[in-house]
Amino acid sequence: MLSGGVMGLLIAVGVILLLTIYFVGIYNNLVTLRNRFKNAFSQIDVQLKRRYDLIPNLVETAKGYMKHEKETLEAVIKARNTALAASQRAASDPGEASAMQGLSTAELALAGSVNRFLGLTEAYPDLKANSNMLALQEELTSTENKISFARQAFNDAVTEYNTSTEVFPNNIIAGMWRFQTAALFELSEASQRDPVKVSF
Amino acid sequence: MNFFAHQDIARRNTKWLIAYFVAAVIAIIVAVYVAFMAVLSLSATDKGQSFSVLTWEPSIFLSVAGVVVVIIAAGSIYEILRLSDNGAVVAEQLGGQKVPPNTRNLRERVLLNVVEEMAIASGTPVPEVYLLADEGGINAFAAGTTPQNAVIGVTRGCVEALKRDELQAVVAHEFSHILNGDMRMNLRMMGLLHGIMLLAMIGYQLISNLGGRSSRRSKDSGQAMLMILAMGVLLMVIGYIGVLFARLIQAAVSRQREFLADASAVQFTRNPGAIANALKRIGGWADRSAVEAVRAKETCHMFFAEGLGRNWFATHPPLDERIRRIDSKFTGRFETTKKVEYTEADVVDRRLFKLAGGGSSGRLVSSALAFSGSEKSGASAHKIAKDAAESFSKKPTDALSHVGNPAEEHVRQANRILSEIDEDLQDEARDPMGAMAVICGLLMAHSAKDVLEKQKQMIQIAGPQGLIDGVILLLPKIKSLKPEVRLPLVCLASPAIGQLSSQQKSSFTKLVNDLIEADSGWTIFEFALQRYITGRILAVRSNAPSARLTKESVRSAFSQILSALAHFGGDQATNCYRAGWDAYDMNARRLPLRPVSECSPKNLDGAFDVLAKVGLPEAQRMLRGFCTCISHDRKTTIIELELIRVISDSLGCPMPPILPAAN
Repeated sequence: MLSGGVMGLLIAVGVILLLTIYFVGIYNNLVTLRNRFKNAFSQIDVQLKRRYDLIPNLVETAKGYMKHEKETLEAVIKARNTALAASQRAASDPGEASAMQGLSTAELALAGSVNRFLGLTEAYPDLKANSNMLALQEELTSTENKISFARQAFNDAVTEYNTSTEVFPNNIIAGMWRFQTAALFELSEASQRDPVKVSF
Repeated sequence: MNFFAHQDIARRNTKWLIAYFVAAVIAIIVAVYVAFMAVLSLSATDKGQSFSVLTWEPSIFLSVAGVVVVIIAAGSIYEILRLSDNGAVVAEQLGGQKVPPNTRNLRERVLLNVVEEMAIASGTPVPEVYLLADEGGINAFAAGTTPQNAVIGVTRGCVEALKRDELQAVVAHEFSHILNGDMRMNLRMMGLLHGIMLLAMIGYQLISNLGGRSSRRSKDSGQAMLMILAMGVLLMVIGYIGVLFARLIQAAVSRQREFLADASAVQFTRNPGAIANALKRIGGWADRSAVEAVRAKETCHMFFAEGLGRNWFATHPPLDERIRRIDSKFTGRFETTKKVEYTEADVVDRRLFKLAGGGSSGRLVSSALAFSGSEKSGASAHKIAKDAAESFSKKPTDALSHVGNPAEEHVRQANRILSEIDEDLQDEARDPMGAMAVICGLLMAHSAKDVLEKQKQMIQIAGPQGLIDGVILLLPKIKSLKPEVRLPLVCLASPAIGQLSSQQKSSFTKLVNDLIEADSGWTIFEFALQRYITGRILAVRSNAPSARLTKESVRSAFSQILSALAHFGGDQATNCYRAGWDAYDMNARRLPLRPVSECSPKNLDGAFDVLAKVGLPEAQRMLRGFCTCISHDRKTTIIELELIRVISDSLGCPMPPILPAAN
């Protein structure tokens, strides 16, 4: 007798149930992806910090030999400090567009000045033979490689997250709960894409 | 009691749990039915029909039962599926951030070192560690379903307020949850809770969706809406009452497991003071063990501790009672806890401690120079280890009793193993790219010269930039590694590999497979190591068709691996095989020893796939068989013992490292 009402209620409950589960699922998935790329940044951060620690040592070692290149050395340290500040800003909110842009600019500048500095060391055979210098440079190269690898992992994670926020119907959920598009960490100039070349 | 007994208890507890939940679900169905009839009778009275709440309407009852079961099942299955992927999801939900395996923050480094030690001591891959940076209380949890996908999470308060040995005790407590199968039980609890919660959530949805749409309503639809509204309220009430009861059940089971985990922590570290002190520190810490995360309520049973309250809903026994079980002299007075500063002695790895100083550059010069210095200390550690290796205990059956049940000796042995692995190699194993180099190196360490060249070329082409340099740099160090540290090294690399993006991981997996195939010469130990790397560390699922497990297929797989072991052991293959088989199952008809030619990697692969699926009682018998087989000829080598560990792991039974014999 009441089957119409009962059926209606059952269907309503069923539809709401399915929709709730579906949307909660999408939301959770977006959160997981966002966490994943934020965690991926910490990997870059570890290596960047390592490099920021290595560079002053490199300069310190070179100082005794390169007495006439004071400006270059200072420029390297300055670029390193700028990059350090930029990386701290980016680490506080990975994927935020202006912070990532800032980091990538600072990183490019740093790579440029380190390259110039290493180019100059060519002219100092004593410095080239210094074992400490050799060890530091080797460390620097391997850190650069690790940074570029970690950067790739971060960019993969960001891309996956971004794609996931753009497809339908995820974009509805993403819009409602403010899942913003994250920025990649790119080193744009093609010439700078390679890690610092150390040639002896 | 051993690992197998604990697993058994965990399973029995789960069965009880399910029985309780079934009872709860039936009660909920009846309640919803009565509520439904009440709503119907109300509307019927309105229309002047007579209709009693107590009328028995089987068709309505069945549909109500169907809907409720579907809702709860859907909610539970959804939640279980989502969480069973890995513990990382749970940790992130609680606001945890992954601690980078190569972190240089001092507190984080101490924490990771403690976790690494405990993992190597219990023979599991090193779990990923999450820090709940926003939580000031002292607490920790373990999540995940198996030792392979487990994660450990600790609060900021935990790393700030606990000394190293106390932190170790807390981590040991969490490892006990991992090893005793408590996590799978927890997962089911969370799933079922979520299912019942969904009922209440739907009730809430009904109310909130209809409440807003009251403008246009004819009398009739207004009536229907009122019914739905009433139904929503009732569903919500019933749902929350159900959740309440489910929590009671969950709490009762959970309290028992906590006592067990405390006892295990004492056993693992043999330091009752440490766990007792950790608990006392919670009592004296301003934030106690509070965890503020939104989801914390659903997951409270997973944590190390909760507040001092003594009530039916407590998932943990009261703090003072837990302390008294360990330290009977406890007066019940807590002293105020202060922050702990770590010193160099707390970090096993000296060089990292220096690096942890951070920005100040002066210190770094010395640490970069320390390359030569660390070589020296490495050499002396090497000598100690060499002496130890001569006198390894040669009784594999002893090791069997420690499966999933490490003792303090194993923690010390883990420390020794870690000190034996070159510091640079450890550093590399904790870094994603370095970990890849370490794994490639392990796969190449025993290649012939021409194969080695081929493998190097593969890495050059397929690997990321710089990988080949890392491999070439590490290869000599890896070659000189003792067999018993190879497996721990792989375990150490596990969290770093977890940091690869999915693209990086799949291309690395392909590279690893190519490297393995390039090497045609192999030993069963290398084979097992490779399987461990692909299966456990890279988590590649075997794509072989999963045949149904029959008694025959299990026996044939067992016979296959036992044959390989018997041939590997030496010249008495037939005798060893027979002894192993008898230890496995006296009554079963013995399958014949297979010739060496049949022990190909392909056949063994298939056999390992079968072994990975057998149940624990069967696994225990098999392990006994394998152990007897290798010890039958009275010449047990370390490689054989390590092999047993890898096989044991693939059976789902993590085995602690082999101990040197007592003099």
